[in-house]
Amino acid sequence: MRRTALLILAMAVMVSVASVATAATGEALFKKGNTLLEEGDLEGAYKAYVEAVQNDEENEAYRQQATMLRQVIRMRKQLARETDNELYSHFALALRSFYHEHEVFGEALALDKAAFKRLSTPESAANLAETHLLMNENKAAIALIDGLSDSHRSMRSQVYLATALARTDQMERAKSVAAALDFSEEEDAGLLFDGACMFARLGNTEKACAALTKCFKQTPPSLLDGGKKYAMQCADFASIKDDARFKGALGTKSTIKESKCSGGSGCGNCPSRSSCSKKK
Amino acid sequence: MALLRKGTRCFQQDDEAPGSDPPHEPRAYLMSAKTLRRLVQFFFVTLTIVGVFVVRGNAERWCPFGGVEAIYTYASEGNMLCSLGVSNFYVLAAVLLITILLRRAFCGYMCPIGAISEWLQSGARRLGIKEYKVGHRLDRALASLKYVLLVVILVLTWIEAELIFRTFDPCYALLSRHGEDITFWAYVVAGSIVFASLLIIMPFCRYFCPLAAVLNPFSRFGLTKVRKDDDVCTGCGECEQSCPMAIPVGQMSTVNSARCMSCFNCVEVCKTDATTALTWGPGSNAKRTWPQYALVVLLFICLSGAVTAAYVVPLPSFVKEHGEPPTETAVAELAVHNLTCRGKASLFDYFVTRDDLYALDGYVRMEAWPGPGAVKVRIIYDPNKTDVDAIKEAITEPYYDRDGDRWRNSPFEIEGYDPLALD
Repeated sequence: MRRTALLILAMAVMVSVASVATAATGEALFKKGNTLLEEGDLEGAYKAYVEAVQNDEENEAYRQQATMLRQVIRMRKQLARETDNELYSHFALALRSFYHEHEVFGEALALDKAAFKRLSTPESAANLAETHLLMNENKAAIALIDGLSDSHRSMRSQVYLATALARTDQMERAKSVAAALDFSEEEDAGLLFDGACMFARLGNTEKACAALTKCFKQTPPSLLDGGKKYAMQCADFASIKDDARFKGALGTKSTIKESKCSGGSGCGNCPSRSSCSKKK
Repeated sequence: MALLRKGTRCFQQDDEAPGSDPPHEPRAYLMSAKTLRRLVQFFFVTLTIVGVFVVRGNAERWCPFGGVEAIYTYASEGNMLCSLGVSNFYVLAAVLLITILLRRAFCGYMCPIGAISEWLQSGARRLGIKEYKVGHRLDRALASLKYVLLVVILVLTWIEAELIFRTFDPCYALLSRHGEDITFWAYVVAGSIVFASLLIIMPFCRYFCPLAAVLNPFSRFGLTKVRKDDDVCTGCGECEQSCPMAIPVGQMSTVNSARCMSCFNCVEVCKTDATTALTWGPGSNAKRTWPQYALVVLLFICLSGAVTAAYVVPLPSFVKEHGEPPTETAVAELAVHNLTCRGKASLFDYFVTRDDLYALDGYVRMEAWPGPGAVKVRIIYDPNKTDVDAIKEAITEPYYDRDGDRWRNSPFEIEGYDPLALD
C-alpha cells in the first residue's frame, strides 16, 4: 500500500516536472523566435514558433504568432509579384503594421522605401518619414519631407518634420512648422499621439498633454494599455515624464465603444450592433 | 356505489329521475388535478435545468418569447437575433396553438417562472406568510403594465436588432448559466420576483410577463373553458379562493378571462353535494366535461410537434449569399467553435468574403446555426473557383484591419482542422 502510494506520488511528480520542462522549452523556443524576428530572419523565427507550438500545443499565443508569421511570409512573396496597386498598398500596410508591432524597423524601412517609390502618395511619404523617425534617422526624415512637393505633403508629414527638426535642435524652424498645424478638430488617435510627441519636443507641455489626453480618449479600449505603455517609454516624452499633467493624461479612459469581435466586452457595447449584418 | 378519494371527487348516482338529463359527474382520477399539474410543472422545470446545466445546450433557442422578439428581424433581413434559432418560431407556434386550444395552459403547466412563482407562494403559505390580495382596481391597473413592457421591449429590440433587454432578464440569467452580458440588474429583477411571489400569487405572470401580453388576445377566445352550471352552484365562493389568477369564477357562467390557465383548481375544489357545478371543455355545455389528462396530452403533443419540426426542418438562423449561383455547386459542412451569436456570424461572413491573400473566388452561400460549442455551418460554393481547404484558410487565417491599422486573429476554430497542419 505504502509502495503503491509512493509510486503514484513519484509518477505525479515526474509528470509535473515534464509539463514544466515542456512549457519551459516551449517558452525558450518562442523567445528564440522573437529574437530571430527582431533580427529580420522571418523564416527562422517561423520555424522556432512552430517548434514552440509542437512543444506546448495548448498555448494559443504560440499558435497565433506562428499563424500570423506564416501569413506575413506569404504576403511578402505575394507583394514582390503583385501588379495591382490597390492590393499592393493593402499588403504593404499590413506588413508594415506587423513590422512596427514587432519592432522590425529594418524591414519596415525597406518596405516603406519600396512603397513610396511605387505608389508615390502622401500616405506612403508620411509612412517612410515615420519609420525614419522611429529609427532616429532624423536627418533622413527632414531630407525626405523637404524634398516632397506640396501635393505629397500632409499634416502627418509636417508633424514628423517639426519633430525631426526639434530633435536636431532646429527649434526655430520646428516651431514655425508646428505653428501652421491645427489639432483642434483632429480625431485620429495616431496623429494626435504624433502631435503630442511634437509638442513635447518643442517644450510645450500643455499642448503635448492635451493632445495625448485626446489621443487616449480616441483609442479603442483593447489598445489603450499598449498605447500608454508606449507613451511611458517614448523618448520624445522624456522631458515631461515627471510632469503631473503627463501623469494625468496617462489616466485617461477611452470613450470608444468596442465590439466583442474587436476585443471589447460584448455585442451590447458595439457601436455597430444594429447594423452588423447589414454591412455587406 | 360511491368512490371517494382524498382531493378527488367521484360520484355515481344509482337513481335518476326519468326524463331528466343525467347529472354531470366528476370522474375518478388516479391523482388530484393539483398533483397532476404540479407533476407536469416539475417535469418542465427539471427539463429546463437538465438542458441548461447538464446537456449545456442553447436553451435560449427554445424560448417562445425569443420567437416574438425575432419576428421583425427575421422578416426584414432573413436572420435571427443573437443566438436564437428558427426553433424559437416553432416553439412560439406551439405555445400559440396551446393558447388557442387550452388558454394560458402554457403558463400554468409549462413555464418554469410560473411554476417557481407558484411553488414560492405555496411555500410562503406553509410558513405562515400571509398572502396579500391585490384589490380589483389595482389588479387591473397593474395588469396593463405587461402590455406597456411588451411594446417597449419589441420596439427597442427591433430598432437595435439586438436582444438589448437580455442583460436584465432573470430567465436569461438562468438559461445562459450567467452569460457574459448578464448584469447585476438581472439578479435584482429575479430577487424582486422571488420576494413578490412570497406575498402575491404569480405577480410576474399577472403583471409583468411580456409573453403573457402576447398570449392574452389568443387566450381570450380559447376553445376550451371552465363552465358553471348555475342551477347547481351554491355560491360558496371556494372557486374564486382557489384561482391563482384571481379570476372571479363564481360570478361567471363561463370563464372567458384571458388569464385562465386551465389549472383545474376551481373545478376540483367545487363542493356540491352530488355533483360539481364547474366543468371544463370546449363549447358552453356545462354538463359535459373533459378530463385534465386530456389537456396534458394535448400540451405534450403540441410541444413534441414543435421539437420534431425543429429537428426535421432545421432552417438556418443566419444566411448570407454572395455572387450568382453557378450551375454546379459543392457543399462544405463544418463544425465551428466560437460562432456564438449573430454578431460573430457577421464576423464569420466577413472572413468568408475577405479581399486579401485568402480571398475566395466565385459564389459563396453561408448557412449557420450560431450557438455555444461547435456549431454547424454549411458553405455552398463553386467548386470550379475554390475548394474546401481555401474556405478553411479564409475562415481561420488572421486578417489585417486597414481601418484600425491592426492585425486581428480569427476567433473561429474548425473541428478537425489545424491551420498550422501540425497533425
